Formats: sequence, structure tokens, C-alpha cells
Amino acid sequence: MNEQAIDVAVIGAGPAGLAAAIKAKEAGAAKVTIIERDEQPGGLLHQCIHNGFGLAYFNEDLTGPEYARRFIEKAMDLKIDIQLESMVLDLTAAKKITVSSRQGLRTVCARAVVLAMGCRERTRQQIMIPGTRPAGIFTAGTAQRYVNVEGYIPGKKIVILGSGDVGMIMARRLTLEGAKVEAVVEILPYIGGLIRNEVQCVHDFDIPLFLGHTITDVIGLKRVEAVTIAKVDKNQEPIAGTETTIECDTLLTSVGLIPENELSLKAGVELDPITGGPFVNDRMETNISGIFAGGNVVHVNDLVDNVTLEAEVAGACATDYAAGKVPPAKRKISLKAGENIRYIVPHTICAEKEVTLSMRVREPGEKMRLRIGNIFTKPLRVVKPSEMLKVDLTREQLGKLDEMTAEIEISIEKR
Amino acid sequence: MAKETKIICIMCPLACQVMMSMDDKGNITSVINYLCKQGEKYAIAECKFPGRILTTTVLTEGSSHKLLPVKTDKPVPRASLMEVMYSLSQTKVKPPIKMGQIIVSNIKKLGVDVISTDELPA
Repeated sequence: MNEQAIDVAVIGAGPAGLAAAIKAKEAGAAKVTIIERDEQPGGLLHQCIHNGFGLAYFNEDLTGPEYARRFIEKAMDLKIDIQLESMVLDLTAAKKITVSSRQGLRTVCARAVVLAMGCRERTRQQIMIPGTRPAGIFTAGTAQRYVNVEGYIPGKKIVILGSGDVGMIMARRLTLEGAKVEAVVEILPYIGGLIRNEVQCVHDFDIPLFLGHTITDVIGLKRVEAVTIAKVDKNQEPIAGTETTIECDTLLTSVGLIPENELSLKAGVELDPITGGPFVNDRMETNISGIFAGGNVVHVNDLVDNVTLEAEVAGACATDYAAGKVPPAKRKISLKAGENIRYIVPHTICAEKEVTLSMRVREPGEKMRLRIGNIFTKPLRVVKPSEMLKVDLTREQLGKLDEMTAEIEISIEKR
Repeated sequence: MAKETKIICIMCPLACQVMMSMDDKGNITSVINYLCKQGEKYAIAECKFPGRILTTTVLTEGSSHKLLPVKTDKPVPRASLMEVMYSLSQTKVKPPIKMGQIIVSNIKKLGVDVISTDELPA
């Protein structure tokens, strides 16, 4: 079998993969390869034709394809090898990658690997919506591809389950394309996506929003004819007698994203059951030495800008590893999710260099305070599970840690 | 007739529900219920000109890509979004197209151009 030896192999050419590879090359890795199953680099950004990308990273308001193009061009300028239509079938802890393409099977032996496979959508089956199984049920992302790339409209009368960003963006997109969005149905008492999407995608078009509701039945044999929705109680159980039936021909689900880690598991990478992604340290390295990860494969981000930044850390550290410049890990301090913190990425830090922590809360709250051990506090006017919390810890702040510290608890408390 | 409008601020997750009062000439007379200056600024701007960047696609001819993504280079008044969409549904483009190229200039005489947000190689 054809074998190729390289310094840094990046799996996936979406925003995370492109950023990691660019950073790896800039940090001095001679041979950087991105392996991508699609026929073009850029990942999901191609179908995200709406704007709102790049506000944090470029301080500009870009659409998905524009954001992608900046990185694709940079990667091309740096002569990064992007292997397209190439599917990674296997990855080992020794960083041997088996790739399938039209040319057959080949092996890539890398000194360091960056996992950048992104995430995929949770489906109807995974949330067990009752009812028949007719045509006309799509994930919001599939509908987005139909409408924005392939030029098909999935239906005329639409109900959307879940108020995640993709769901709300599709509510606007389908309305603009002439469909009637009958309802956005959200089981939680608050919206699942960003406030700007609630205002600009749902309110702008007077789309009925049913918070604290779920779908209790899908009606129709060949094609969706209607859905029944009902109010839910505080345990998210439907309340009898509150059912309403909404006629529609299409049901879109926007019910969460799951990091795509089948390949990581093959290499023995340990996953955090909460994020669905690898446990990582502050160099974005997994438990397998030399295998790094960045972006939505680690945890689902709400902004692509954050995916880029995180993958850049992975790319730079992968280059150091490939060059044999691995800092001796003197300390490994665990970050423990305390009150109202669902997760923290990275999971461990060495406390020797500055680090950006990404956190999500469990419950929304107002007038709160973020506490990181005894080294950092920050008042927060509002926290929401849909809006990631980011904190940069400086060397000085980390220097306040006691030398014996093995764990730092991070919590959100009432002010 | 004086008028009251509620504007939800999108500048941060707090999502202040800013209340605006206007006199019969449409002048803003009071702005209340916001927690920071950004909220006031956003609400006034939104009240004076509720505009949105419109992003959509146009059909292509003679390309392996069926659609080309496009956007308006400036915000379009919210009330005009649908007429711009209808106008663009009649537009077809041929490759090659560069990113940022004008696809329709001064669409519906709104003073905004529709520009390409991706390239369409020949």
C-alpha cells in the first residue's frame, strides 16, 4: 500500500481543519496535509450562506462562504496539501491513518494528528418523536443544503422543532424562499440559539414561536400532513389536554449537534460524556500523545470564530510535538465543573502559559458571578446555556495558584 | 398619535426589551428599559432604520454549481426584503464570477448592490 510520511496530518477541511493546518504551517511544520472527504474544502460553511461569521475573528460581518474562502486562499498560498474526496477509515494511536479515495487505499504516517471532524446533527430517531414515518422530515442542516446548495425547497408549510441557530436560520431562509413557516417549537422555556437569530429570523418574520412545547404526534402516511404539539410540564412531559394540531407538509428538526468522534475512538481517544468530544489539555491534546483536536469535534461551539481560535491552538501545538518540542508537563491541574457549569474546555491545564477557557452553563441566570478557584472572579449580568462563556486566564492569574493545586473548581454563583 | 415600540436588543445575551416612545412626527421622545449604552444606541438605530443585510442565492447557467450565494452590500429596509427576493428569483448568472462581484446593481432602486459571496469558476 502507498505510504506517505508527514509532520502534521489534519483530519477534516472545515473551519477547524483549515485553521489548524494554517497555524501548523506558520509555526514551521514542513509537511502539513489536510484529509477531507468532500470534494471541496470549507465544510459546512458553504451551505451557511447567511452573515454573522467573523465578527470576533476579523471584526467584519461575513457570510459562511466568505469566511471559508479567506482560509482556503491562505491554505493555498501556504501550499498546504489538501487531499480531497479522501475518507479516513482508520486512525491508530501510533498516528497511522488509513485513507480511501478513488485511487484506492493509502496510509499516511504522521508525527502529529489534529482531529477536526466537526459535528453532525442529532436526528428525529435520537429524540424519539412519536407518530408515523412519512416523507417530509429533515434535519435543519439537510434542508439547508437542499435550499442553499442544491436548489430544492423541502416543502411549502413547515414546522420546525427546536430553536437552535440552524433551525431559526432555516425559518427565515424558507420564509424568504416563499414557504410558510407555521411554527418553531421549543421544549425549553427559552430559545436554544443566539438572541440575534431569535430577533432577525423569527420575530422579523412574525413566525409563531412555541416555547415550552413539544411535538407529540406526526400525522401522515406517505407525506407529513400535520403535527400535534403540546405544552410540557417542568419535567418536559406533555400536558394532556394542551394539544394543538398544525397542518404542514414538512417537519424540520434542529435538536442539537453531536461531535463526530468515531475515528477518535478507533485511536483510543477518551471522550467526555458531557461534551461528546475528547478530553483535552490546554494544548488541545487528547489522552493519546500527539493526537490533538480542535473545534466542534471537541465541543459544539456557537460561533465559528471560536472554532478557528481553538483549532489554531491545536495546530500550533501539533507542530511543536512533531518537531519534538514537547514541553515537560510539570503539572496537570483538572478543571472541575462546579455549580451551574455544564462543562469546561480544556479539561486540564498546566498553568504555565495563558489559556482560554470555554464554558457552558446548565441553567440561565441573571446577576451572577463566575468564580475560578481562588484566582479569578468576574461579575456576569446574564448567563445562558446557548451562549458560551469564554475567559482568558493570564500567566499572572495562573501564578497565584498554590504549587500543590491539583484541581480548580469553576462555578457560577448568585451575586 | 404618539406611539410605543418594543425593541429587543441583540448586542448581548441579556436581550433588553427596550421601550421607545415616539411623537406623532415619528421623533423619538423617550428610550427606557435598557442596561447599557449599546442597548440605547442599538434601539435608536433599529427604530430609525430597521434594515437587514439580505443573504440568498441566485441560479446559475453553465456551471456545475447550481446556485451562487449572494448578499446585499448594505442593509435593505425590512419591508423591502420580499421584493428583493422576488426580483432575484428572476436572476441567472454565468461563470466565471469572482467573489464580491456585483450581480445586480441598485436593486429595486434601493441604493444597494447585490454582490457575490463566493466564486464561480469557469
